[in-house]
Amino acid sequence: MDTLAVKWSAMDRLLGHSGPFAGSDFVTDDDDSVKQFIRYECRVLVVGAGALGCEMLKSLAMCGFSQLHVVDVDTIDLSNLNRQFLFREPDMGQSKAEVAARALQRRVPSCRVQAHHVDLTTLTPEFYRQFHVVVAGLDSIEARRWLNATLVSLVQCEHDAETPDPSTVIPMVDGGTEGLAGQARVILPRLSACFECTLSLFPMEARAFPLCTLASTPRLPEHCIEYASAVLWPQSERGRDAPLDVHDPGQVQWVYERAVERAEAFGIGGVTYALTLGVLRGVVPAVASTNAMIGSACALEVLKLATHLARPLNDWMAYNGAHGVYVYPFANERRPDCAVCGRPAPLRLRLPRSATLNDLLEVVAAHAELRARRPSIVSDSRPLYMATPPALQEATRVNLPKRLADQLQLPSRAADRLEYLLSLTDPSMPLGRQLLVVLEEADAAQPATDDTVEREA
Amino acid sequence: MPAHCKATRDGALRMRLSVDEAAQRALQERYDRQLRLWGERGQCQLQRARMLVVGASAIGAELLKSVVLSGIGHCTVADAARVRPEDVGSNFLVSEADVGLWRAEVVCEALREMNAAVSVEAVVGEPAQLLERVGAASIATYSLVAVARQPRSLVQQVADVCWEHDVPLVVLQSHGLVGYVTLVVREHIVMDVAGSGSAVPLASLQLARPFTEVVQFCRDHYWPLEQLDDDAHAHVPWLALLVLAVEDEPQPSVETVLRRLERWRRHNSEPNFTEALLMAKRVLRGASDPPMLLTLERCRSRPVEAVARALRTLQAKRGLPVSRAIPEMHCDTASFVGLQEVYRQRAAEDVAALREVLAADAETATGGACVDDPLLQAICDNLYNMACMRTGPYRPESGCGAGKRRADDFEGEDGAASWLVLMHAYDAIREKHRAPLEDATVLEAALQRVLQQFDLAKVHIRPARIQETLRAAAVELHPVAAVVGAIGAQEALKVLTQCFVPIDGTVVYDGYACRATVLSNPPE
Ligand SMILES: [Zn+2]
Repeated sequence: MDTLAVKWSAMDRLLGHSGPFAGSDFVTDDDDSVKQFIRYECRVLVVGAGALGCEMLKSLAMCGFSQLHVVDVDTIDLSNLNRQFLFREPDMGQSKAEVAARALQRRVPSCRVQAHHVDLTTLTPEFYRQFHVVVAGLDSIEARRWLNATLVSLVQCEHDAETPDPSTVIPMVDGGTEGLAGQARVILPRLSACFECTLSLFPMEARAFPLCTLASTPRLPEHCIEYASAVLWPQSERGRDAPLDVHDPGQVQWVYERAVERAEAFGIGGVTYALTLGVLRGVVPAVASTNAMIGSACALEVLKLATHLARPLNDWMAYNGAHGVYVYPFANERRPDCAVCGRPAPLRLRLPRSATLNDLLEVVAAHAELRARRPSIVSDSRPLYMATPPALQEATRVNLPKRLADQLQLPSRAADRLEYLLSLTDPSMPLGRQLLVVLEEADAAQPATDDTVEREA
Repeated sequence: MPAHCKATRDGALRMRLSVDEAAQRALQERYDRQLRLWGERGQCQLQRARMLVVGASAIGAELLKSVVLSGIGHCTVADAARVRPEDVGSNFLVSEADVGLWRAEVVCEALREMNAAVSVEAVVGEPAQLLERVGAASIATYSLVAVARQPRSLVQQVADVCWEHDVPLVVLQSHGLVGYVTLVVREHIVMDVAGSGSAVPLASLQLARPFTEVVQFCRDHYWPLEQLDDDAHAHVPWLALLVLAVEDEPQPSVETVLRRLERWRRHNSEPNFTEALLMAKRVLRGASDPPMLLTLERCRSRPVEAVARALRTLQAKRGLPVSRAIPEMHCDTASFVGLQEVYRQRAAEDVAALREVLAADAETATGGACVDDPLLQAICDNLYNMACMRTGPYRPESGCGAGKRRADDFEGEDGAASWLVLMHAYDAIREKHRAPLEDATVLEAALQRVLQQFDLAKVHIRPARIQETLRAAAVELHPVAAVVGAIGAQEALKVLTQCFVPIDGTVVYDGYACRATVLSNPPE
């Protein structure tokens, strides 16, 4: 018996027959052209080789996709092995992308997998342009925003500079999980809602504990760990030169020991090494089954996009398995003023007249639409604060405690307020964002919280 | 080696392994991310669990992959097939070189490689002898049985044995882009509905009737409030404020307590009073027995039922057990640590008192059933997070609930029930003729027979769904089998760890719409 002829019989059955739920562009694959496309031409990039990435790679290979690339800068550690099934204990310390590619090719020899053991942001637009579909299994919002913006920027428009040229649209299938919950979505850059359009659907990361609690009234083991890392580390010999590296076991051990001392001094129990790691790395709970569910649901969407076998998800699927099983699709709208795929107006931020540059940085970090954690601010091409490179950071750091009003040229003046147009850039926002900062009389202004920040009409 | 559990002196459950410390730390780290979901108790239960999986095609293999990675104790994989070429294109755990070998043996080899700590065993044989080889009687020795993509008669046979022996059952199937998972449990105790790391239930602080030691602590440290300086006054923990406001009231009403707190408050910016006023409403309005106490008393599980009755006795004598932990609150370190210690000690005494009540009438109360310390501690810890669930026995129509379901389940946009009956109709034909079915009238005739058999004759099934069922020809499409296998694994893990709430019937997954709907199968 010819093994290959029947190996793909499940896929062939669906591709060879049409049905009422097939996509509108579906044609029965009588001449095998769709099969040929999946097996020899369709280039799929998997971003992230963690739990979701392993599952995506496996399910894509089992659909017959044979031109796969995988990007991941991480290396394998023991706590990955409860769900990242392409890795074994002897692989610890090695590149996730490389080990995943090798393991997959051993199982499915017809599949070619190219590994890239690099940070995704170091790859050029030309690299991303070569793919038909990009699938992301990333755990950071920042990386997903970057990838989304890059794929949006690759879309070229027709002569009218308005209508996207569909042949340049690279769909992004994005998955995410936390504990027993997760979501999968399909983004057609410039055609459907992008990651940035719906950023507010993702909760802000938990805010750090107030410094006064850490310093004077610690109550929880977490308070002691935060104190050790946020206060004691920067004062330590090594900490004066470099921020804490949460992936360095020696440094984690140091924080753990200081936290234990502090906890003992205050009579607080419960500081453990595992808790220390959890607090420092912001570890989220994860289990094999949730990642398998979401990773494979994403692979199914890639299959739909590549073959029109069925209509792709429009555009979001929410999943929760903590109480029964909840899987539900819903459609998001594109935002005309999306900072990435729309025509963004400057974002208006109201601050008190006495606000400093440092106050502004805090506002842009906490704002749900910006979440700029390493922001740089430029006014009329003059850098006010630059997060990188170190030399510029050094030079501009002195501006932080200064009042904004004292540092800026006045572009316009209303009776009771000062308005300035500033440019914000951040690693998570490749395109940056214009800010219209409004400084108001002290009694008129509220502290700059989310509800006092309004969008330009 | 599976770990065994033992309670340590402070009552916390720890995994004690027959290996050295370093190996234990390695295990902790390997399972760290899931320990954050179901805790050490859940992991311990999982490592002691034995699971039987009947069926090693893609969907069974995907289910096995997740439970083996999570560190289940043992899996027996029973399968009547040898690896066929089409398995190579759908089942990730077999490869081309395996064609012709017993599928269960090949899958077991891959699972062993994935997690060496799990013991796996294959049972193979012709379909007619498979159940015999497993040994129907041995089914009772498993913690859970899963049946993946098997003939309907075999599913029913296994289901009947499981029901008789009280073994939870998971049934899985996938057809093209749709599939389902059915869970059958005669009785399942959920120890922790919210999972490890969830907030301390306020009711478990027992503030409606504060215990002597906490009253004493609050009187010693904060009473009279008037004598505290402003700073100290603004740092009295809300918990202590509530204790002081209710302690001399036999039946404290929310209104009395709120009035008192308002009277004591010096000015509106005292954050502890803001917290106390908010909490008073939540704590006192919800003051009642743990919702599960009643259910637990009617439990079939003898040990749990015995503990529930002992809790009633304890409630009359000294009140229900209190939580070992207290929630985070606005106060200084000494107050927090002091209160935490008062609760920790009281909780330990409560468990000891409960143990005494149980021992006093061990014979009559438990009927000789053994209530071990870890179980006792777990019940006290989760008094307000426990649940007891039951489903009806397995029938193919489980979830379609003859005549009771909303027409929507069949005719609406969602149509979960219509996918379910279509899969059963197609399976009924497939068991007789292996070749894909091309004639719609044959499927429609089979569908009518199934609907009649299910007592659903009047139900309308959308023609588009019938056509898609024909198109898919019940093939096992890998990503769909993987999604359904993962959902099945998750339900199995929830049952085995006794954490989170499993489905109470059948969940139908629709890969066209990216939707899943649970059709309940309540007990009669
Ligand atoms: Zn957008």
